[in-house]
Amino acid sequence: MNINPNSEKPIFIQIAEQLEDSIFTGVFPEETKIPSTNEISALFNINPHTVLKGMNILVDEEIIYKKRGLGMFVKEGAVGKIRQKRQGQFYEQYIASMIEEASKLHMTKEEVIALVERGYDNE
Amino acid sequence: MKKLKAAIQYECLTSVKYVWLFYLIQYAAVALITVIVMLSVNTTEEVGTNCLEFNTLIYVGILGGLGAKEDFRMLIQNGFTRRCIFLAAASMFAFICGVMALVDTAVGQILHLVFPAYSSVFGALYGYENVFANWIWLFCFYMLVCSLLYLAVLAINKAGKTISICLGVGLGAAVLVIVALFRYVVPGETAAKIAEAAAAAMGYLSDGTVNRVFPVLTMLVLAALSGAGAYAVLRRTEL
Amino acid sequence: MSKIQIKNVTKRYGDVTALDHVSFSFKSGKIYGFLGRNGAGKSTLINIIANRIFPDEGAVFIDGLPARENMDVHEKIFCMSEADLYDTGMKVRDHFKWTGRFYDSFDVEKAFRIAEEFGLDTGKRFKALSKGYQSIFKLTIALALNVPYVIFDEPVLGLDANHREMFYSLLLKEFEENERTLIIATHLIEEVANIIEEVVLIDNGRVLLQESTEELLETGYCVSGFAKDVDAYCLGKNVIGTDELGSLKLAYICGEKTEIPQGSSLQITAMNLQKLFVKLTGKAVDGNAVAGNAVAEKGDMKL
Repeated sequence: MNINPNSEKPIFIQIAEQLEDSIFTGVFPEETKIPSTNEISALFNINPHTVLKGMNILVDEEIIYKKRGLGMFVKEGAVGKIRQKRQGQFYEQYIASMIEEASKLHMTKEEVIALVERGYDNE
Repeated sequence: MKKLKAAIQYECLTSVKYVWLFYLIQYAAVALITVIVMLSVNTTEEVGTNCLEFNTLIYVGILGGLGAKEDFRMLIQNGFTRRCIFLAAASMFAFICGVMALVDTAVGQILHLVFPAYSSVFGALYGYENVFANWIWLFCFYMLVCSLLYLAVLAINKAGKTISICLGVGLGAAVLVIVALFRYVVPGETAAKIAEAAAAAMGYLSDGTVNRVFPVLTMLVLAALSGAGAYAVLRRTEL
Repeated sequence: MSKIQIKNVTKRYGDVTALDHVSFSFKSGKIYGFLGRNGAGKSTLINIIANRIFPDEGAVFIDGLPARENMDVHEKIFCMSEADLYDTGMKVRDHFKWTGRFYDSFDVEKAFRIAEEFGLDTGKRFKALSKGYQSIFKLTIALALNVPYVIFDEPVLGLDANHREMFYSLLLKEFEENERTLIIATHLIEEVANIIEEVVLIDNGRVLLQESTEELLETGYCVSGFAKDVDAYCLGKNVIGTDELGSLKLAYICGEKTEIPQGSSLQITAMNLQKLFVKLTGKAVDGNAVAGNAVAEKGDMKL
């Protein structure tokens, strides 16, 4: 996890995104405990209220849930939910900005598609 | 009350440890002087010094001054109110003056007994018969000095350097003027009456008897006055 | 009721007005950043809250109780001060002992634990400590004292980077374990930017703004591009400062963001707390069409 205080993104959103990323990549598997607000707050020197606010985003999205007295746990099916969400955001986050940048560079649609294909070939 | 007790304890315990050091050094010096006197004059009746109480006076004076500065800062940092700080300081003064008066009384009486040539301040003024009167007199005397110094340092602190110096100069001038007034302006009769009253306040009555209660009362009143003055200044003292 | 309420406080030193009818509150359960330039009036206000000096007008109330000469607030508030008021001849461990006697809520064991973490030698006298360790000593006491309101006046003065990190971590741990109000007055704004939940910014003896850190960072931003584009964009916005680099212009704006016109050279970037602070207070000092005054007048405005 890495928090960038100079980013335009508010800290609590960064926290939510980083946690989500860690859950998605399997650092915190489903039905396991994630670090407490306490731990995250002390590690990055961030106000615990901010950390909690970030976590609450994931609670609202039903990616994590609170076990009374035990802490926050990753919900079953969280990875699938994140994948679904990210697929939904894929166009917004990547395609739209790619097209915008391409048009600034005066690149044609065909050129961009060719580049995408090249990317897949190299994989 | 519990808080006040803690503040009083702080004041007393941090001040009393230097008392023993003070006496240690003082009596080491006295012993040394006595030995020197013994060897050079070859007598066992001389101590070579008198009126050891004056040393204590310097000590309690310093205590009064420090109480106004160092202890005030320390206690205000720890969230005490000025009222609490004043009560703690006053209790500490009473405690230290009481203890030191006790030691000085005992030492004065014993030294006078062992070396008749030695005289303590109280003994020289009022005789050696009444030990309790000796203690209470010394106690009031020390308290008076303590509270005067406390008041003085607080006032200097409050007024600032320039005004303090002016006040000091003014005070000196006032003393000169009063002395001059007594000598040249006030009619001899009145002056004599005032002198008589002053003597009575210190226990020397005009009929030649010595009253040991009057000086104690006089000094207590003066100490209380300067204490009240100190409290009035302290109430307005800012860090 | 649970708050430090500053009501109409004014303090003058001769002709200088250090605090000018200041009114606001520190609410309970938050970490506050109390910011301002040198001489802005921070220390004066802290000293008034801590009953070290008296206001000429107005008063401070702690949980509804007057803070002036009142032993009832003794267990409610503690102020770690920048000035060294402690008995300099006393050993650190004796200081701990006495603080324990003065305050019921002082945890002596915790103080020793924190001292050990920092490597503070408790056998040393205060005056024998280095400047940094004197600060550490003072904040150790403040951290081990579990009163509802703790004020830190320049807590990290003279501390190296490691010790500063340690302090912030400990502070957050303390806060997490025992939620209370922590007020940090500091010049190192960037270091505390993520720790503080709310900012009180004071300038020239007046409160310039009081705002949650998050909202403050959201409303403040920087727009850059060709000067004419920037100027056009800034029209009608609350510009708190500008910089110019050749034909490139940067404008610092507080308030709602509007869409960048299509195909313009403009770029919007975030402004960090420090930049915001510098721009807000820098202007106020110049004394021209002051953003700060505008804020003070439009009390209901976001910024």
